Amino acid sequence: MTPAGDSSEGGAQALRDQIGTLHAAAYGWALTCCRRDHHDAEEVLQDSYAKVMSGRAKFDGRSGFKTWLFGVIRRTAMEHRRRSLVRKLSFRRYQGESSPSVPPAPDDAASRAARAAAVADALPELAIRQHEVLHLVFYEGLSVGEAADAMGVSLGTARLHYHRGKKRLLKLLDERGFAHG
Amino acid sequence: MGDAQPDDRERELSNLFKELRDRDQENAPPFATTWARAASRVQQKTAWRPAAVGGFGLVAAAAALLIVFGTRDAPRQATVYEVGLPDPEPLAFLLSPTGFDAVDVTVSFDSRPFRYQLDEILEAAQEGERL
Repeated sequence: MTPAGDSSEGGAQALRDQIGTLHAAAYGWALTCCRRDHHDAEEVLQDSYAKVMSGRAKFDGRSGFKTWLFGVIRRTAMEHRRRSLVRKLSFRRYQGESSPSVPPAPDDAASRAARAAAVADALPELAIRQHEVLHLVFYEGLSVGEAADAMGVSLGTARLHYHRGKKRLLKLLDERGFAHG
Repeated sequence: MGDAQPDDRERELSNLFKELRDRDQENAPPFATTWARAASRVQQKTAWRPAAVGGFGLVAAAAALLIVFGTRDAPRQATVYEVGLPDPEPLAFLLSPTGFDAVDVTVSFDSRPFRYQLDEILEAAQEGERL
């Protein structure tokens, strides 16, 4: 087990350091779990860290630390979604990062930014499970099996979401005029 | 895109996600800030928890007292068969002009003078029998 299981002061510091190294990935994952809403993602991330800090979420060593942390973030995001449904708050749909009308040249920085924006724009249109598995595989570089662990689903289910999600995302990008290359 | 082979498409998706990841990392809030805000959330929660637990305890105790004292002397209802009459049929007969079937008839009594009222009921029942 990693120092994350240690409740002493040194253990708390080790836990903080360990989460610190995963912070960027955790933020990316929180964005995915919140349908790429930056405000919600920050809220979820703070809540997830608070859970870890207070001991409400404890790493037990049954999975990798990153997989466990991603699980905590995913559950916290689900709680947030439920709460916002119950409260009937206005849904903050993902705005900005609109897809460009003309496909840009492939090699310059503006083009890369536009392509990233197009993906960011298309991803929330996928089913949440498809979005999650594509994120874990392509963004985090996990295998589909590891993604299934992080998502808390079976390998078969993860594979199904992976293939369907990939197909749908490519179709959406085609519709936005992003040619292969 | 349509003519591309599956491997090319996977590679393309990988590249697109890599670009997205780079951009997200640039926009990510600093870890120290997020951690500090999380710590402040934990502090807030631990601050109100004892008050909430204490408040809940007081409300529960008040509710328990209300139930105990409120129901101690409250009127109660039971069917004539439930009040323990040795023979409830005469009483049922007496009350039958009110339009109730014997099984539907209920008697109401206070808990404290229960025995007294029961005696009265029995007496009335015997009177009815004599009649």
